[in-house]
Parts: sequence; C-alpha cells; structure tokens
Amino acid sequence: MASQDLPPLTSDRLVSAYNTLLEFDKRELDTLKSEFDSTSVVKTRLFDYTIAQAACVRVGIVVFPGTLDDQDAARAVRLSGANPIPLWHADSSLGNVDAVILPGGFSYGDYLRCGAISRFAPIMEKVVDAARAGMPVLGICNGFQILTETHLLPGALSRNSHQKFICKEQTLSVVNTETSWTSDFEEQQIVTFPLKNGEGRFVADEKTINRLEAEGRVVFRYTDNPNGSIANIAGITNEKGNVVGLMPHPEHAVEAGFGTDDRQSNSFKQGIDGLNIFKSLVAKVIYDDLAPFTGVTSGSVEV
Amino acid sequence: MTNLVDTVERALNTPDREQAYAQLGLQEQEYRQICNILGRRPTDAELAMYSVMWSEHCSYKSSKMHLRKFGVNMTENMRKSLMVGMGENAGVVDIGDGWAVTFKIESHNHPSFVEPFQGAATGIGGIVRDIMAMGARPVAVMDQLRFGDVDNEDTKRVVNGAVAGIGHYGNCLGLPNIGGELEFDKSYQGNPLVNALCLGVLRHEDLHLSGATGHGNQIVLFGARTGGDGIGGASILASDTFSDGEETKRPSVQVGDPFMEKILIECCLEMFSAGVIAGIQDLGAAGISCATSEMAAMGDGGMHVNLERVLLRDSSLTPEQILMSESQERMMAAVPTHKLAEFMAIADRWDVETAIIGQVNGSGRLTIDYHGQQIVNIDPRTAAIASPVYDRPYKRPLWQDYLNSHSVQIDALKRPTTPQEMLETAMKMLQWPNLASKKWVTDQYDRYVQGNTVLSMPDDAGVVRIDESTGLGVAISTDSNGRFTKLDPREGARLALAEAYLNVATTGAKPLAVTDCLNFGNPEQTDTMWQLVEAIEGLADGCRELEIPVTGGNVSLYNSTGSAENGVNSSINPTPVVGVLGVIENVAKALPSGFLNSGHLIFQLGNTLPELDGSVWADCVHGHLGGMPPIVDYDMIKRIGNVLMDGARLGFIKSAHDISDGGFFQALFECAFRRQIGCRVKLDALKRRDNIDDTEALFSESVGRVLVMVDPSDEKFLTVLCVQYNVPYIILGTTGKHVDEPENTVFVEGLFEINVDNAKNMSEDILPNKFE
Repeated sequence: MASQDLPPLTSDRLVSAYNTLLEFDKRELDTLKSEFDSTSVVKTRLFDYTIAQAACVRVGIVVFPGTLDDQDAARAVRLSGANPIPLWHADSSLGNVDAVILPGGFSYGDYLRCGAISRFAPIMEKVVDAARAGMPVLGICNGFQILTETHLLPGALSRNSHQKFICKEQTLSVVNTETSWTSDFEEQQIVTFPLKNGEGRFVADEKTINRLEAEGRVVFRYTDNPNGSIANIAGITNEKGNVVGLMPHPEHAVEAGFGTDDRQSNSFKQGIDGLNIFKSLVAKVIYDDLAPFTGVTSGSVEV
Repeated sequence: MTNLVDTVERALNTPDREQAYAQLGLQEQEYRQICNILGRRPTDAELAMYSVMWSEHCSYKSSKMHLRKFGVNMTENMRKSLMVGMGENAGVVDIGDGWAVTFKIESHNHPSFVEPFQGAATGIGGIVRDIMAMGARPVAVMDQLRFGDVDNEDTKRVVNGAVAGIGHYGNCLGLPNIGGELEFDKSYQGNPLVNALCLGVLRHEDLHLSGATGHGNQIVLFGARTGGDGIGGASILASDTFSDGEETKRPSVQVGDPFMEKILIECCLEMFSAGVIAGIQDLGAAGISCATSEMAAMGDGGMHVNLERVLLRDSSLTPEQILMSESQERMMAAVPTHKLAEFMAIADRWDVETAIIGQVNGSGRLTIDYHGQQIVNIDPRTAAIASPVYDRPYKRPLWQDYLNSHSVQIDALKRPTTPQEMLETAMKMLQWPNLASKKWVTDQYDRYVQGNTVLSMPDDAGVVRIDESTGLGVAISTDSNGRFTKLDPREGARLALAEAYLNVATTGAKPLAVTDCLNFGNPEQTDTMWQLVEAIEGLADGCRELEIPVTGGNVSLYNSTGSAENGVNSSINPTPVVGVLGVIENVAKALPSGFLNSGHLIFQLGNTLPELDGSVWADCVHGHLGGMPPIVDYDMIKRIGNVLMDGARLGFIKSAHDISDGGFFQALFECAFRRQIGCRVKLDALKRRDNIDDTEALFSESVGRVLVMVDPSDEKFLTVLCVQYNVPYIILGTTGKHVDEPENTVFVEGLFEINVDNAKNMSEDILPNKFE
C-alpha cells in the first residue's frame, strides 16, 4: 500500500506542512498528483500539502444559551492543529465546517430535561442532516445528552445514582478505536479524563444495550463506575462511527499544566489523554482527503 | 389601585399620617432624620427606599467610621497598582501587560440559614454580578463556609443545602471553584457563614463604573423580570437577629436562576466590547432602590424613572415592593441614546428582556413616577452615600480577661507522652472534622471549566491563568481563624492576613491586594462592637505593614442568634475573612502544595514557638479555648514570602505548603495525601533549636512557617536564599519510602508511623459519613 511510505503525523510535521503549503501553487499540485506513484519525494510533498489542508480543518463548536465548555473545546481543537469555528444555536448553516462539536454546559438551563430544548435549535436540524450524511460529530457531556435527545445516539442520560453533582478525574477504557474520534487511541488503552456532571448515568433498554454491545458501539467504559451507568458505559457511537457522545470531558485534558494527574508517572496535571480525541479527527480528515490518490481510508491506516 | 398610591403630593397634604417605619427595620430617630432631609414625611415608596438603603447591610452604618482606617492607612506605594478602590462594586488591580483583575468577597449568611440552597446559590450570583458590573469577565469563585457543630442534626441540613446551592449556581455559570474554607464550630449553629468570592478579569480599557453619567442617557433595566422574592432581604434578614422565628422570613430569601445569569454575563460582555454602555450597576441587595439611587448618586446629574415600565413577574406588586424586590439576575445600565439600537440588538441576540425605565437628567434629584404620579423625589446622595453613621459604643468585655488567662499552660492540658498516647492523639487529629479532607465538598464543584485552573483545593491558594500567550496568572487565598480572633480580635485579624499572604506567596505569587468579609455579631452590644473595631484596626495596620491595600469587601453583622454561655456573649466567633490576591508571571512555575516525588528534602522555614493556645489540638483533644493566639511577625512573613517567590521563579523549589491549622502534623499529612507519598522525618534538631517539646513541635500553630520541598542537589540554593533573606530553616527529613520499609507511611522518628493510604481514606470518609 502507498500508505506505508507516508510519514507519521506529528505536530512538528504540521508546522512544516504549513510552510510547505505557502510554497505551493496550483500548477505544481496538479503535477504532483499526476506523478503520485512515481517517487516517495513527491508522496511526501503531497502528504505535507494534505496535512496543511487538514490544519485548515474547520471544526464547528455550537454555542447554545448556557453552553459552558465551548472555549475549552476550541482550545482543544487548536492544540490538535485544526481551526475552531464558533457556531450559534440560532444559525441555520454550518458554514462549511468539516466536523461539529456539541460542548458541555447546561444548555437552556437544563430545566426541562438535559438537552431536551437544544434539540429544537435551528442549527441542530443541520447538524442532524450532516451527521446522517457522515460528518464527524462529537457530543461531550451536555452535548452527549443533546445527541440522545435528537436520536443520533440511542439511550438517555439520567440523574447520577448518588444524586449528586460530581467532579473528579475519571479513568476510562477505550473500547472502540474505529470511530472518527478515537483512531489515535490504542484498543483497551486506559485514559484519564475529567468527569463533571449531575446527570451522567447512561441508561437504555436491554435491547438497545445488547445491540450496542453486539455491534461494538460502546466507545468508552468507566474502569470504576462513578454514577451507576449501565454496563459501565461512558461513551457510545452510531452505526457509521462518525457520531460519538461521551460524558467525561476530553477537552479538559489537552494541555500540560492544566491536565490530569497521573499517579503512575508522578506527573502533576500533565495528563493530556484527551488530545487524542481531537487528533483522531484531524487524522481522519487527512486520510479521507488522501483517499482519492491513495485508495486508503482512515479505517485502514495506523497513524 | 393606582389611586391609593402614596404620592409626594399626598405626603405633603397628610403630614401626620402614621408610617410603619419600625416594621421596615428603621429606628425612630432614623425616621425623623428622613423627615428632616425631605422637609416632609416620606412617601411609602421613599420610606421603603430609605429603609433598605439605610439598613446595616447596605449602609455600613455601624462600621463605616472604622472602615475609613483602610483608606487612612494607605500609602502611595500601596496605591500604585490600585485602579479602583473601595466604594465601587469591587476593587480593580493592575496586574501588568494591560490586564487588570477585580475581586471581592461577600456574605450571604442570613439567607443561607433560612433556606441554605437558595441562600448560598444567590450568594454566588450576587458576587458574580458585582464583578460583572466592573466590566470584567468572571473567571473563578471561592467559598468560605462555616457551620455549627458537626454532630448537630440541623448542621446536616445547612451543609448539604449550602454546598449543593454553591455547586449548582457556580457549575451552571461555568466558573471554576478554586478553593475556600470549611470550618465547624458551635458558635455558628444558628449563624452559618456563607461567604463567596469572585475573581474577574478585564483589559484596562474595559473598566466600567457605576455612575449614571451623560444627560439624556437612557436607563435600561435588563435580565430577569422583577418578582416578589427577597423583598426586604437587606433590611430585615441581613440586618437583624432571628428573634421572631424563621418561618416568616423565608419569603425574604431570593430564588436564583443561574442560566439567566450565564446569559446575562455573555450579554453584558458583548455590550461592553461594543461600547454601548456608559454606566452599569448590578441589582443586589435593595434591588431597584439601590441601583437607581447609587447610579444617580455616583453620576453627574439626576435621574428620572417611570416605575410602571419595570417588567414584572407578578402584576400585583405594589410600587414599594417593586422598589424593594431583590429578584436576582437583573442589571441596570445607562445607555447613550445613539447606542440604544445596538444595545437592544445585543440583548435580543441573547433573548434578554429589556425595559427603558428612565433617563439621566440634570436635576440633581432622583424622581420616580408610577403611572404619572410622583412617588419619589429625593437627593439620591441622601439615600446612597450620606446614610447615617453610628459611633456605636464599644468596650473590651470583662470575659476577655477570663478567656486570655486560661492558657493551655495555666490549665495544664495533658500532653501525650508515651508512643501509645502520641498515636491516639494523631489518630484523633486525623479524624477531626475541621482537619478532614474537604474532597466531599470540592468534588461537587467544577474546577476544570475554562481550562485555566492551575491550582485549586487542596492547594494553599487557587491559581488561574489570565493570559494564554504569556502564562500570566493570579493566585488567591482566603483565611480566617475565629478561635484566634475570639482570643484577641486585633491579632486574629492580623493572623488571617498573614496566613492568606503566606498562602499566596507559597505558590510563588507576589501578594498585591486584599479583600475582606467581616463577619461579626450584634454591633449594638459593646463587646461585639469592640471586636469589630479591634479587628478592623488590626487588619488596617497589617495591610500597611505588608504594603498591600484593601480594595473592597463586605461587613456582615448581627450574626448573634443563640444563648449566652458562661457570660461569654452569644455571637459567633468573630470571623474576619481576609482574601489576598497575588500575581505570578508564569503559572507554569506555580508551586503545588504536596509531596510531588520521592527523595525530596523537607525543609521547614520559620521558627516553631510553644503556641498551643487556640490551636486545633487544644480544641480537638481537650475542647479548650483560652490564652493568647500566636504572635505575628510581618517582617518575617515578608522575608519568607521572598524566599518562596524567588525559589519558585528560579525553579528549584518543587513544592511548598504553609503550616497553619493543626500545625506541622497536619501540614505533613496534607503533603503526603496529595499524591499518596509518605515521608520520614526527625524532630530532634527542631526541638533543640526552638526549645520545644514533641507536642509543640507537632501541633503548635505558630504563624510564618512553611514546608518547602527541594531536590537534594538543590539544597544549597535554598539555604543560600534563606541566608540572604535571614529566614530560619531546618531540614526535617525526606519524602518517600525508606528502602527497607514495606509500607508507604508518614514516619516521625520516635513518635509514630502511620500508613498514608489508610489515613487518606479515613480523612476522605469523614465528611460523607457525617453528611450523607
């Protein structure tokens, strides 16, 4: 496969790719494409170009009234090399974004039921259509609740079994690394994300749970169940793997000094496991962009 | 209905009508003073306004003349970084690079006893709006909580309600909670203290003040609608003791809607940056009465208001109730007419309701009409600024001598001597609720949101990043020790300041400014008044010595429900909560408070004196309060602060933890709990140097001591710094396990050895076991 010759994706690579992009002109690009299979130098140049395009990936971050973690999600997107694009709940266009994040918070105060009002926001109609067409969508915490209310994901999030808001560092096992948002993890990898919610207990009827399990659609499981979620489920995906919802907050573990503690390595707030979520998305877009030349899709490439 | 309204005209025509001023909390002489100011009897609406504006809560009438000392004591040097001082909604401090921060503590004590959840929640809401009103984005909160006896049945109600209320409101606003205080003492049984601090950030050019300036500017009330909640909260709840039973007072507690407040924050920030606001004021205590009279008084002219334009949640409210309502989540702005359309467009975008209720004019008067009839016509300064000032009598009480004479030494409290007794004492201290892990509380608060939290509970101070590109940040810590302050109010306030100062310095930040929340009993009692005056003077002097200004704060009086005991008055332990804010150039260098790794040397900076009076040990083991509190040496505090700041900046101090409640013993365990890393220490050299015994070495609460951890290869750097600043230091041991030890323990040679993991679990179980 051509992909074997491709260099690994690193943040240094992204920086050099930016510079490469500035040097390109369209004529050169067409030449490169036509010569794609001839030399590895060309492949590298073309790959740099594609990374640079990915660095221009536009990730929409929807702000509802009462959304709280939008700036954190934007920072996470920035740190993964992509561009955060703010989207307003009342907008009726996604403005050319490549992916959408529904961040955490208490949209509309969560007064009726978490996420129950947000699903009717004008922008959600567009998000649902795009998700059904395969656009990567990530719902974090309140965003996950909104995804279940829109039925992009099954099940529901109810009051924690201990009836309290809880804020803690939570360890999770990554169960599915095939989704648009988890390809950068290793299977069964144990990661730490902050968890903070009052209504994070995942529930669904037995049939739904069985189906999720049978189809491998559980993405994250709690290693120690903090809220009574069925089958320790912390996050799930849809049939296509492009829509992921999870209760813990990967966007709060993306920057050393502001991340999680890691007992094993004795690091102090250095834990940035969450960054892989956002890097996975960038890699997904890169490989999808490469696909016309290489025949390689993100599912079959190790980054 | 409107025909019955008491107008200015009617007041002139019926000078002798009896008015129920006492029910509104006004004294007879205050009522007569209002009549003198107006040259007639007040209308019902004016009476309502004066009653709330002249309440203790709003007017500071008992404390005002003493609070002036903060200003009198201010030197040019202290004023340097102060952009806005006392008197505005909150003080503003320049932290460099064009950034400024604003911070303030407020009390919501009385409402939090009546209805803990809503009382505490709206306490957060109120202080956040104060910070917003300065043009700042709120970026963090802290809470200072004091409750009654941990085993009293009612304590559980108040603790659960208050903690859930603070969590609910703060979490829904997206504000990280970065620290606070938690204490249990029976003196707070009928008077829990729920104080809340908010920190805000702004660019210098975004500073907004509350004056209603600019003739012709429109006065817009926006946010939530006005309802019947919290009527008379300031005058009735916060300014009196609970003598008539609490049932009747519940309607005086406001109900909060954090979602509305979050919208209001974003909406206001957008308005600030669009430059559509000439002056802004939040609506807190005394509602529209306060906002209109303060905005008019701080402005350059007068103001006219048409009260019927206020949007109501309850159409049956009388004009007096509309003026007094303390409905939450409301703001009032003065908007230039040519900016009005833009202002309204921003409000619409956020679905915030607005009502243009009046205009700024040149009359010098505050006039309010209700359906075309004038119901208020006053000089706004007489309500907002020139309120009564009382020189209340104060006297050192006789029981103070009794308390001071009963020291730990005189009362010959038994000290542990055998290893068995030492272990028993240690276990008792570890299980003492005031020393227990506060995790159960802080786990109910979001500390991650906004992604800028560097340090939070259980570190000595909260540290947040302000500028993502440079790493510039601030540290905040608050402190108060009611037991020390009871023993000596002046020294108690000075001790609180010293503690908060040192906590901030312990992170490596440079202390810059002070806010305070003075929680005291009934000022009409001479002994309480004496405590208040002593504490204010002590704090003002301390600020001058440390060269950091008080930028603003709050006074909460009448915390004095309960019955007297042994002639010692029934008020709460006097509790002056002092908050210190510091600046740190690069938050990446901020020092956390626990052992970070094995093999670090443990230094103690500062001397341990035989100071057990008022200590947690005396309370926990003997139920004793007597003697004199520790002595503060501010010069030493400053010098230790310099060692910490330099050491952090140069990067060789790995972590540091201030020694306070529970003494060296507690500090050592807190360090060990942080990352479950034990230590081996030896106290012999310390005991010899400071001429103290085991009990004193472990449990004395001498102020001005810090544990500092360094890598052995950096030992010489720290000792050189200590010599340079003339700070006493001693190496007490090392962190981590000894090679031949099987367990992870805190090992104090010759005294005890305790398993860290077990002790930590025990400590974390105490609060849930009491309150779940």
